[in-house]
Amino acid sequence: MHRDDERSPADVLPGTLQMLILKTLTRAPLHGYAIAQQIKLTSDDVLQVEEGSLYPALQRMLLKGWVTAEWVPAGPKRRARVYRLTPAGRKKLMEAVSEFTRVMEATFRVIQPA
Amino acid sequence: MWWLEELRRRLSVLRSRDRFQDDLKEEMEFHLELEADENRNQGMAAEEALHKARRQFGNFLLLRETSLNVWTWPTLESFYRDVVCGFRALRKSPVFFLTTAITLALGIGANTAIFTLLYSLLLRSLPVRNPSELVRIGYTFDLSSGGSLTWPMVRQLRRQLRSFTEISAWDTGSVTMKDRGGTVRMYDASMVSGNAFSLLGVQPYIGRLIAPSDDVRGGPAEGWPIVLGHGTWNDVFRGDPQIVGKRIVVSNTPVTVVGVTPPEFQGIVPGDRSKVYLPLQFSNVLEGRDVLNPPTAFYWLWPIARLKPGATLAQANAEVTTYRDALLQQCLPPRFAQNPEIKNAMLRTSSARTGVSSFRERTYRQPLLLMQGLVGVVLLLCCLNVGGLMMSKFYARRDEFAIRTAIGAGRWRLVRQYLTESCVVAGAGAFLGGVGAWYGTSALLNYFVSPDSQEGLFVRPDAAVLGISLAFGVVATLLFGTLPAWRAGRSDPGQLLNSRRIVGVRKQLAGRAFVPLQVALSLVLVAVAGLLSQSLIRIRSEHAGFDIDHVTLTCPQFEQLPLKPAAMQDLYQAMVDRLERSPAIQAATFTWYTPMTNSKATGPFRAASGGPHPPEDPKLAYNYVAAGYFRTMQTPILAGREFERKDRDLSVCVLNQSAAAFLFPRQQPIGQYVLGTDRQQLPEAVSCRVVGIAEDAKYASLREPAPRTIYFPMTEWRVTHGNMVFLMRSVTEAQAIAAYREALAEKAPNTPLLRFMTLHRQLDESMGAQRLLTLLSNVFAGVALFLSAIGLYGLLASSVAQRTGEIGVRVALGAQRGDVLRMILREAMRMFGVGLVLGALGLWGAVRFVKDMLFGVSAFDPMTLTWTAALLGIVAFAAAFIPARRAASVDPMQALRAE
Repeated sequence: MHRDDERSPADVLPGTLQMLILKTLTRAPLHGYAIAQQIKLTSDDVLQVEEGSLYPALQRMLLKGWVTAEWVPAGPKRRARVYRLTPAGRKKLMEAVSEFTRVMEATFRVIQPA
Repeated sequence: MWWLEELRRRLSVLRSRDRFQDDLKEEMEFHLELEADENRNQGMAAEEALHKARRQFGNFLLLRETSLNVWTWPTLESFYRDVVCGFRALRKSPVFFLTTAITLALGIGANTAIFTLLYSLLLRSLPVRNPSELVRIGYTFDLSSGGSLTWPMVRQLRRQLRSFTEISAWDTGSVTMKDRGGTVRMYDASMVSGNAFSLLGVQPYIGRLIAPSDDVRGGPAEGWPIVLGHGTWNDVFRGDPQIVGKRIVVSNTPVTVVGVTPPEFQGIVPGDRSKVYLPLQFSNVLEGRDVLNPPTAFYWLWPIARLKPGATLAQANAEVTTYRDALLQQCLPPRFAQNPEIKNAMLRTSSARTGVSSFRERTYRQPLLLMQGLVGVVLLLCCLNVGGLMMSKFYARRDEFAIRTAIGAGRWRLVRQYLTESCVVAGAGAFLGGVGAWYGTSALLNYFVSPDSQEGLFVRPDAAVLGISLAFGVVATLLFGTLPAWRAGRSDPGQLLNSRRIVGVRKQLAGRAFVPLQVALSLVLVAVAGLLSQSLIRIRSEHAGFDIDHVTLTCPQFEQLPLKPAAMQDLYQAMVDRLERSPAIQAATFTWYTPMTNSKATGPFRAASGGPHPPEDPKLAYNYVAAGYFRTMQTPILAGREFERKDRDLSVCVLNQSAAAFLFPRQQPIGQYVLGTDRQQLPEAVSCRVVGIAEDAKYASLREPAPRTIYFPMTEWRVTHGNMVFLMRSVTEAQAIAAYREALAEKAPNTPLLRFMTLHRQLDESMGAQRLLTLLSNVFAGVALFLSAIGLYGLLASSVAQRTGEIGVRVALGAQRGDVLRMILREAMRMFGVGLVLGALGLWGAVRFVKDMLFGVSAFDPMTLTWTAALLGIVAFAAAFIPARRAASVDPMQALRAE
């Protein structure tokens, strides 16, 4: 019987994509592809972002004012849109992380063997 | 203001939507390139690398769309597109748009107008703080009316009751005041206890309102204060901003204006308007003696109280009931406590959220509810008609919807679009209807005249009207738009492949259900209109027992003159003598009650000769009339004589025929004695000799049969208790008015001139609601007939157009023109027949609401019903005949060639 001992990459938990993006941007301003790569890398290839879905999420965060975007040159005749965290975004990240931690800890307490 | 920031960002992106799209595309392509590069670096072939990158990325176009939608309002935008689309579709068929919008405007406007009346008169809360906490307390004889208390009772309860924060008392009366032209006129006044305004929570518009320090016996040291209603302030004082502090004379008493009430507050009687407000103790001034304060005063007031927060009406009722007996014993003279009516009275509280119900409200409640029912049916009919039109429109557009379905439009998307189109039509209808109702309501108000104040109902159309017509618009949309929208949603792309001829004929059956329903509703409306018209005609042709056409009446205000009783009676008589000297006046007299005011006085009387005590109710209607009454009213005296000037006490009386037959069944009534000794029910003890027998005459209204009536001569006591009414018989009303003005200027120059009435007008006004109801029901019946005719015609016309081919084949195969004609007519008559049966059922359910309004005609009057059915049949036949003739004239060659 095939058990997934060799674990396949997992989808991002619903609702956490924005938090992951915000966290990734704390270190440095990045463009979309780099954000996706960074998430994959940091999570040791466990978290797999459906890469296209980054963009609607980024637009939503632009609307909320959590990130700003600017075009920077990237090699010959190419340019990349780089996203940068704003103070509002940093605040949102803190809220999101503490809320997520609270929920996860509670969940753990329930599913831990007694 | 985070949302403002957001809005700013949103707008800046949306302003350059193309650039946004380009940027996004570039950004995403950049992502794909990097991904593909990475894949190539891992050794994939160029093509495969790109493929893998694409797979991993997801649906490129969809993601772009989703990203854009973050910035836009997708529902709003598609709604906007639907509205634009709807307008475009409707602009292409302006006749259709106009027809439907006007049809709906008719239904919505009528409903809004009637509902505005209903709402203002029966439902609207008083414009005060927490109106739901307001209650009325008092003794009542029946559950439908609110109660009353005397002033000592109010003061007693104030000390004892715990469910209320406060109890106030209201009294109504009339005061005289100079109008802006300087003529003395009567104005409705409310006399209120000092806490009344603070209890309601009404704030002054300018100055201050009546305060507890104003409401003291004999008036405050600085003189009586008066508060003006906003309308009075505008009309009489031209909205003078310096009015506060001004001294005026009210009912011959100097008073000081202290303030003005806000415009939205019109007193506590819905539909009536208090003109001025005075302290409660001012009632004593108007009555000429202390009626309020004696411990056993018998002067009833309207108490308005406010429940403590959290207290319920049931709790308050339970508490109040315990005081019933004690209060009666303490506060009423012993002889009244024995009065059977007071013995049976209950002490209870009732909600005063909508104010104090007036005579008018009780009179018009039922007609108004009935009118609302009628216009509701009209709205339903309008919706059916528009629904039918929309349905046929849908058949014309079904290819369009089929194509949309075929290229992927979702079912709900189509439903939504169709409903939006309906919304546009209903919106236009609601707008037109609302405007119509705004102006129409005031026209209706003239029918709601109070016989007491003889003023029209006071109702202001307001923002509520707008809300109401919108609500009716929404209801209408759902009613007529749902079926076509549902059909649109079910559009089958497969039908595009079918021949047009095969589709349609059978499928249109759904639209066909509209016609019998229309016929049914029309039947109900036409039958009700017929019954009401019959009733009105019968009421009017009732034999009144007096001459309605040539009698003018007016009410002098002699009560305010400081005259001794004998002098007062002399003054009335002198006026009559002076009037009768005018050549234009054929006869003049004065009376206590005038006929046709919807009210009458009754009391128990018996024959002095004893005899078997009549087992029936011994009550007779009674009235005080001066000499010449029967001559003026043209009521024939059948035996004996009428009153003469020497008859000034209760030693003689005149009976009408019924009363004579009732009291003296086997005797000659003239010369017999009638006794009325029950002092609790009669103002004066009566022991009188019958001197004349008059023909039966109606009293309160034409609707009631002439009651057994006993007439007394005018007495000194009577003329000093209330104002009498002068009756003048002349060819025209103008002659009577001119003569009266002359007489008044000569005999009592300082009393006000009130408005004049003719008996005829008084009769009309006493039947205001009935007349309006009849008029409206006839208008609506006409509208209903018209709408059903259009509905039937429209359906048959489009059915004939669709069946041209089939009819062509029939004719080609040898069908005669007559056969085709009969075929279409048969189809129409089948629908009509079904409608007739449905309508009869509907009428059977509806008559119970109309029954009370009918007079002299039974609810299932066979004549009326036959006429109704015949009328509907003629209209239906006429509507069906035109399409039927068109069908019969189809040229088979042309019809088949078109296929």
